[in-house]
Amino acid sequence: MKKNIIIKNSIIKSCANITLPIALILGIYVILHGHLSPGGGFQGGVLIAGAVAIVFTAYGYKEVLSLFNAERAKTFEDIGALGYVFLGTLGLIYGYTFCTNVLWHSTPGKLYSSGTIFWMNFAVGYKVLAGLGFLIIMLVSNLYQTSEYEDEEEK
Amino acid sequence: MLLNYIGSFLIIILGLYITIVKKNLIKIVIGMSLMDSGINLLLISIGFRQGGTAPIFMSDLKPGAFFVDPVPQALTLTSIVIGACVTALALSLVIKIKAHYGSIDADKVRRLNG
Amino acid sequence: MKKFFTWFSLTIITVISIYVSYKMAIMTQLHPTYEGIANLIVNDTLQKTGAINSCTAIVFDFRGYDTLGESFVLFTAITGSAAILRKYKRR
Repeated sequence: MKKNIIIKNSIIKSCANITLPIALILGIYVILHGHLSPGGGFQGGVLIAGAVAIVFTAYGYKEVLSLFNAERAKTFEDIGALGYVFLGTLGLIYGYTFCTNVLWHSTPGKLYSSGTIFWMNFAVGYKVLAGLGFLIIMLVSNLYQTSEYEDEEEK
Repeated sequence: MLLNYIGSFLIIILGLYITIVKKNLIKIVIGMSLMDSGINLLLISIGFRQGGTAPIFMSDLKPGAFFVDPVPQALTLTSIVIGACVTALALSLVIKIKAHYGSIDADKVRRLNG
Repeated sequence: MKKFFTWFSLTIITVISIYVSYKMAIMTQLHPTYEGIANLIVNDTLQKTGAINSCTAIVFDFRGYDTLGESFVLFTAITGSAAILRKYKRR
């Protein structure tokens, strides 16, 4: 029944138009305030990676291919992992042990208070965000192995 | 916290039963994920102190208040991420088995196909 | 025969786990630990690091090496999954 499919598509699209900016802003808020309230890098990264699933549910597979680039997402994950290792060895360079807080001299309670913990939240959140987004794109693109999509990609 | 311990043990045993008895490959993966959830619940319930609050220094709490144990909570975060990664790898293997053998029955995917 | 063994062993495991949970609940009420390692960590959180959240300070500062090992697991899982689900184009 074509009429049912048209009604379902417009309902899902309108809901996704409202939900997508809320999910992205909530994810960035949870990553930023990792040292002030419950949350942190891992939780916020998963929230942002859910945006890929929302776009696939509402708009279809071709929109996901045109919005996200899978090769660049794999490179971003490596940058996040190397950033965490570099911030860990910063404690070794200053003379203390691995992963020591060496950049803090402010009052606790403000947004930019604890030194390396603030930047480590960003590095880990970036790694989880890029990695899980790449994984969802790979799992979804395996469902569409018919020849019609490959012909349209080659054009 | 008697109810937490008994509940987590029941969830672990239910996941073990699903992994052993069922024949559908996707049901076996669901059983493995259920066992991960049960073990995480057991880890958090061990670090409970009677009459304590959440381990966050708010502005009105002095740094001498009575907190629950924060070390098991920090290690459960790692365990949750590892459980999700194992589930992702297992599901991608199930996709490849279906494309190669044609069915996802654990009794029919026994011999190696060249 | 196989069904009998399955149900029998699962019943024994259930009975043993209920007994163990009773013993654990009684022991944590009689002998609570107040001078463990968690006490030392919570007392030093505001001095050594500047974070208010104790869990984040433990994950990233006191036990940062475990978080490095967890990032290894994430990296290996995503690389292995991408290697399994590749598409080979036939020329």
